[in-house]
Amino acid sequence: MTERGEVTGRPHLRLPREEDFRAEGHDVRVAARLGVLLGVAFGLCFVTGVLSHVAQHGSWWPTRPVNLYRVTQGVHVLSGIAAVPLLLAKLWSVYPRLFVRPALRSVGHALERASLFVLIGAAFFQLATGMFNSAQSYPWLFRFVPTHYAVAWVAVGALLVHVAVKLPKIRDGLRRQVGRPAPGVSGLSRRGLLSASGFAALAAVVATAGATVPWLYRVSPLSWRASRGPQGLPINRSATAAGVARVGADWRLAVEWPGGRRELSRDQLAALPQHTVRLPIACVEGWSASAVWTGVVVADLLAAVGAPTGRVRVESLEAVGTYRESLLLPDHVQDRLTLLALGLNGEELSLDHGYPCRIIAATRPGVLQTKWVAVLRVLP
Amino acid sequence: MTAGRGRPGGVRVALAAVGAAVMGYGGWLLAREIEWTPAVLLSVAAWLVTGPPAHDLLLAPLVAVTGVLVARLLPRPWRTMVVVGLFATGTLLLVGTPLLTRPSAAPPNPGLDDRDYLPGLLAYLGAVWVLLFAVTAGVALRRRRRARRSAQNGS
Repeated sequence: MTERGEVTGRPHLRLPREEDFRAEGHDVRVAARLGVLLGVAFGLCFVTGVLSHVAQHGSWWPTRPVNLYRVTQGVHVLSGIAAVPLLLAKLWSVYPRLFVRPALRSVGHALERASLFVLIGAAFFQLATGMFNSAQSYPWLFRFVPTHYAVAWVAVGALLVHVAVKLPKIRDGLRRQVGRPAPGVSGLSRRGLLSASGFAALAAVVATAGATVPWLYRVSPLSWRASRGPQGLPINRSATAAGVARVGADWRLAVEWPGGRRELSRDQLAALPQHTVRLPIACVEGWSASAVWTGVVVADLLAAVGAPTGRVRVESLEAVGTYRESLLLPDHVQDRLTLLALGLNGEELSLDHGYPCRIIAATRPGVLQTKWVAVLRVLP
Repeated sequence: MTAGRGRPGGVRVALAAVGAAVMGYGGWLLAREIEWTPAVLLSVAAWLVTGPPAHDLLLAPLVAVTGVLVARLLPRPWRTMVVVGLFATGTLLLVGTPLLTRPSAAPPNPGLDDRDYLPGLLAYLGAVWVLLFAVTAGVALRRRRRARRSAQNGS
């Protein structure tokens, strides 16, 4: 990464020219290989991001394997982290092209450069907003989820255009061997830049992966899942933040369906057959943690009160908030692992974890594991 | 939209058309999503548009100047070690910035984002540099031995 002759003894400063950059890393062979790695990282990000969108808004989502969302969302966040050094190295490998003369050769060339600006701007947007969101930090005035989703399509579209434009160069760069460094070159070799990018990507992934990979937790200094949390599990939205207070003995769960309604006290729920399952909470922010949940199987509960099965809308005691209610799809309603949980890791569910009861189901994003449940409404 | 001299093939034209359509879909989603008020537009623009100039005008020149300095001041293979170490360090600082600063953060959530991140990050960076130092020292030692041996063989 060194430039010789860039700062020569000239008395005046001038803009650099493409040929001023003599480091070996500024090479199509390096750019093409970094581009492939970056394409894989962005591709994984995009596919897992769309899957997350389907999991949250779609009309179907599988109930198995239990760790499905944990894996897809973990891959989403970690491939985004890996993309940070890969993107920087890729931009470095082609940085001299920024100074190409003439700056705009033709209409086509202008369009190409404009699409590059869109691509890089969108890529920065996705990586930066994604990382701030993982840190539960929101220094912007737009809604994160739909905006991140929209810009993902912009980024992938611009990436396809970029690949279309550069395809001959990509083929050329990949066909040629990386090769040994030329004698007497002072900076990082081509292979050196590729290795350095891989090393930085690995270091960044290991530094963050503890948020979702249990055995890496102690190694990762930048894991945003910071500790195990109360009752052995982190809280993603406290009762205080949600404006929910502990309910008294007069609290009743309402189960409603077309043509019927039943109310149950917490004691009545506790008197129904209890099941204990081990399921992860897997958050959209990329952290996940497993816990042991005890409660009533939702399918059993519906059968016990004489309600039909189908789609179930879960409503929380939370008065406002994006995730105050969620929809249980038919497959999840019938799944024996879908619980209305009363207990967590052998204790009574604490208020911050959703007392009096909460939904826990396999493969659902954490934001849909609704806490402080007040109403289960079977939809027609 | 051709980069090379040759005419673009059907695959490339199709790819570019699909890409443009996907980009358009994203743009439509974005236009529909954001509130068209000056404050929100400014916020979106700040995150969407500042990346490329921040890289091209600040980060990349900084990297270039650092590269020149490292090349002038350090011999091989220490030069490589420092460049690789700085790259990894910069990456980790960038990735760590949201956690270390947390502007406009959510209300406190027990078990999330409540670690003291700086000491852990510094220790991790220390381990990265020690690893790089050990590998580089090994390389330097092997080179010196090889050079000595070939000098002895030559004499």
